[in-house]
Amino acid sequence: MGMSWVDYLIVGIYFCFVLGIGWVVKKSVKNSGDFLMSGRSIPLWISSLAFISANLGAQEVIGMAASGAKYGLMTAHFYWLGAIPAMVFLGVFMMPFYYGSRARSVPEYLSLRFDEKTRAVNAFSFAAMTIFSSGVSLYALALLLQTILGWQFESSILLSAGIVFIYTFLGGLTSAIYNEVLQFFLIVLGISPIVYIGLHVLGGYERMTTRLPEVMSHTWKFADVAANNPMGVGSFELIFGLGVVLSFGYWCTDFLVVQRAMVTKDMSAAQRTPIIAAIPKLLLPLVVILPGMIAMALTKDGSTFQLPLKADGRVDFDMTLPSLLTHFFPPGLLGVGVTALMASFMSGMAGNVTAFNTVWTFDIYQAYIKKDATDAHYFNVARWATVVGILLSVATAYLARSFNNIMDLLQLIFGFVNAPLFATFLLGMFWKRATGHGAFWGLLSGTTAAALTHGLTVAEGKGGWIATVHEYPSAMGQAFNIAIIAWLTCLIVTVAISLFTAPKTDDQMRGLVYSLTPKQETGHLPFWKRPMVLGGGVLFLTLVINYIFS
Amino acid sequence: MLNWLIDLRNVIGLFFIIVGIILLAVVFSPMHQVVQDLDIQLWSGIIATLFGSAMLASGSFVKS
Repeated sequence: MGMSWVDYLIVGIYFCFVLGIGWVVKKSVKNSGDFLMSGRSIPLWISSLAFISANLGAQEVIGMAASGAKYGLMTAHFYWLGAIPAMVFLGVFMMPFYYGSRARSVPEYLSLRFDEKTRAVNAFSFAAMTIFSSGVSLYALALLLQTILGWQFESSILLSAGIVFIYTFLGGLTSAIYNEVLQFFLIVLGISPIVYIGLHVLGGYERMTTRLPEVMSHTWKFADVAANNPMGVGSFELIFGLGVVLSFGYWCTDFLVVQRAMVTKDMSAAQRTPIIAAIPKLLLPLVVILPGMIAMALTKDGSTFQLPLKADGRVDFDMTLPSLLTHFFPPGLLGVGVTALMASFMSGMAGNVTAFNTVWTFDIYQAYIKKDATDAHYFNVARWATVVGILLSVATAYLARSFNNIMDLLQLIFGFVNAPLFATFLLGMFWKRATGHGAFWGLLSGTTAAALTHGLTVAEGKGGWIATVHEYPSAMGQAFNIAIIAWLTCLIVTVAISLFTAPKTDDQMRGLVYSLTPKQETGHLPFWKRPMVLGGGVLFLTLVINYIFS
Repeated sequence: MLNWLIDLRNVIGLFFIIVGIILLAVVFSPMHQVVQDLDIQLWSGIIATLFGSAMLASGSFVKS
């Protein structure tokens, strides 16, 4: 499918605006604090939209549409169960420690609360993971442009990486955040017409569901046991594995998203950022999952649209959204749709690069390489980290192209490292007896337990590289169970070792632990400024939506 | 001179007004296509222009 000149015009205008934002923001970037932390001056509405947009990358937009076509409405669990409660928890309970401690990053909080070795584990694994994610995002974008538009792989990589580089290098985090907000609106405007056209063709939502298997139009009805639903997960794995361990582990500890709340101008804005972000997040399944369900319904209905097939005859679910755009969008609107897809990839990449340069500068370079340099020196290091981050992303994209198995392996390893993290933060923030030795060995044990569980279990032909003692009905079920085991192992080992090692003094932990931090008085504030009330309202809405689509 | 551009609402507003006008311009050109009896191009153009105007109106460009 080729694009017309008007489509290219829209893509070109988007590039001009993205670069223009970098150029305008550059004037207000004067030191490392401005470059890496936006001078802690980002308004609430911007930080909230950037919070969800940083997560609205390639895996989200393309992947969720693919899952919508494959699993149906159960995919919404990744939002209504696997995101909103954790975002509210972050805002109400965890932001006071991240923001109140004046830590500049999540690993730095670990160093204040525990010790340097715990910080190092988090900082190095996070830095590697951001480069990996950024490179995979770049690779996926180049592959997409090659497949649907016939662009050359190399040109796509260089153009996308070049644009992200220019605006992040010029304006740092502020530029990335401003662009993420523009990208958020663009993604919504560029993809939602597909939903409107699709439902119009199918005769509305109710009639769409009649064309799908019943299991695809409910969130909870078939979630009791793994065998009853296409995801192959039961309610325990869903609620505990996704809803608690993986969800809280990502939304409450991943610096990529938490950074967006940490750069607001005050504590109130920092706390409300993830909670306000949860409101549009609640509705995002309409834009990213519903198109997948529409595509499957149209295919089953025998319409002119059919889901694309791979060379081996199986459905190519990853091409669900691009194929809908190219099938339905006329010239002009196709340009908006393709720009929206490019925006999602670029926001994902920029988010990773800006998180990488912050962690590299503050948590690796300043912590372990050069402690007492001038701010101008760290500003320079941060800019070079941006250059290196982009170059490594490009290299990773080429690696992904050549060795797909290596990328799968890396993804698996990062999954092992991430799974236990929430136990460390939970104990660190809410149990003052937790010690640095406990946290460090807890993290290592959790990661080891995750790797062992993968080596001893099999799902869809994956895992079992030690022996096969159990087989899961799906890879997703296996992933959820690995996360649960890693989390529990980390929790138990951290508690056990902490009980035998000396904790920090109360004075050292003031402002870092719940019981040693003065509670904020918010009773005199209007309800929209009270995180607890706002969070309660969002959770109530989430329950209502879960009930409606159960 | 371009200080108002530092207000993100103005940037987003301008972007969507330009995109909206392009989409509306296509409606009056030979390229225009009606998809499944829906003039989605026209409606997308109107929505983009209105959204852009609302963002611009809330930004400092109009206030100043």
